Amino acid sequence: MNSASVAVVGVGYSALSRGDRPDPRALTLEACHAALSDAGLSPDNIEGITQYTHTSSSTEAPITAEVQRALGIPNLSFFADISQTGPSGLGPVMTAAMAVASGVCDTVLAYRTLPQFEGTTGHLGSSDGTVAGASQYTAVYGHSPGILANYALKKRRRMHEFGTSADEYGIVAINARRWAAHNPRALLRDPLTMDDYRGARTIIDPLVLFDCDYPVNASCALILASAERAHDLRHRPVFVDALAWGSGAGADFVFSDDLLYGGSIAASQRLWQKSRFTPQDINLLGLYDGFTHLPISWIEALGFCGFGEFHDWVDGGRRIGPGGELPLNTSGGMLAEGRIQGIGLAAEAVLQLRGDCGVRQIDAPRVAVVAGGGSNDSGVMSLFTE
Amino acid sequence: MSSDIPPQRPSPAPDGVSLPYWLAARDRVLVVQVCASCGACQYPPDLACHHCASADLHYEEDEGAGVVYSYAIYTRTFDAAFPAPYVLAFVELSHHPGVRIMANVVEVDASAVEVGMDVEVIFEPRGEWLVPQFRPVGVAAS
Repeated sequence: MNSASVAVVGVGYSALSRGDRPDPRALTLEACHAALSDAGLSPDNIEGITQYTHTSSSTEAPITAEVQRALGIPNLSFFADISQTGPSGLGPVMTAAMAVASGVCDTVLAYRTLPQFEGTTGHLGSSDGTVAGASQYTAVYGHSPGILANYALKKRRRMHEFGTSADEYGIVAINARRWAAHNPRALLRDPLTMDDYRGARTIIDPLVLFDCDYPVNASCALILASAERAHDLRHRPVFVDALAWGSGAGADFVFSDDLLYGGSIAASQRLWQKSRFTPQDINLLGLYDGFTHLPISWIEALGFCGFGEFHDWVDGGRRIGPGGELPLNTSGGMLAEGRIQGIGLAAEAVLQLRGDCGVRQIDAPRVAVVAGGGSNDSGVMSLFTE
Repeated sequence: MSSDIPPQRPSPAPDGVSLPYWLAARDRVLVVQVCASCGACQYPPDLACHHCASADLHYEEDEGAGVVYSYAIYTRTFDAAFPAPYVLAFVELSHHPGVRIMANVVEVDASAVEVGMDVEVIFEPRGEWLVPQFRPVGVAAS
């Protein structure tokens, strides 16, 4: 992808909510129609659809065929339902970019739909009987809910390895709220202080409540198109600069060789090899923040500071906050806007690069880096405007 | 909210790859899967070597000494079979460097566990099997 051949041309969100149970299909169509409207395209302009989901249940997120039918698209030339591995909601966006760059199709609708009750909540129950497969090495030890234990283990190891305190995690949590205060769509807009963070309820020690993202009912959709097509559409095109995935060695969500960084270092190195930009050119970061550990590990993996140096680099949060030189997750991210899982960070980057972010708009950004996952499921992309 | 009888903790369901691991554990021996071609060792066991892809793998005995690589303390109960508090850890094996086993650190107050703590394997009955666990070195004498 040496010349910019792909652009993001439309962004759409569903309403974000907590506590109710909206139909995930309706959320998805709301986001898709919003993205089409934003791009100035109609459904019959869409040639491909991609999506990411954790589950195989279409009651939690509709598959691409359901969306195709409900949009009245008679025939697709590309479709991919991505599950289990991949950089979460960024996966369908990155895959869509490849589909357009390859010439398989000229336009792709990429979405991620995630109900509040999907995921670790509500899956706790008692386990009995036997456990097979990968679980025979984890479930026998009470590794449940596994993802929370994983991030508790990473946090403890990081603090030991670098001699850092939990406060750097608090800086990430506080940053999310500072930005969310300026985002009408965000659901957690109240400020958070370091005292609040230090006093937060323990989930699995040392993981605390404010280290975890905020589950919501949400869908978000992006439309990608060839650069040629993009120039004829409504908005200033936001071009895809480079894409990179990274699994890391011993790839596994629990036992990966690199507990702290997973595949994020390999992905970051590949990104800079392919990119026309360097870290010094980046104006905006959208880094996966399902847990506070992840933006920290991504910032270090991407080389914005050395390993273990985030706390000194971030300057008490000033560097990444409103008015800072490298704004991070200006929507409030998954920690505060709500758990839209990666694709929301890409949508926010597009809106910032277009200059469409209202009161939280940063000053004329040109280049953004967006990352998804951060374990063995790492993916990162760079976006720019001309 | 709970009955008088706590739910049973799950026991492993060995498969073709893991059966020697669990059979050894039942004899109170911790074994590690080692590649006959390149010498790499790995955990969890797998069909092929993660370094050279050889399927010529065997198990060798480990002395059961390890160091806590990281740990998490459950201070609330998510699963009635595992009442809090308990410690979930990665233990790096001293005689198989780089091999990190997940286990509970037992026979110690959770607040006394530290990264870098020396631990040794013990075996906990679980159904018809024994599950490797770790305790701080020196506990046995007290």
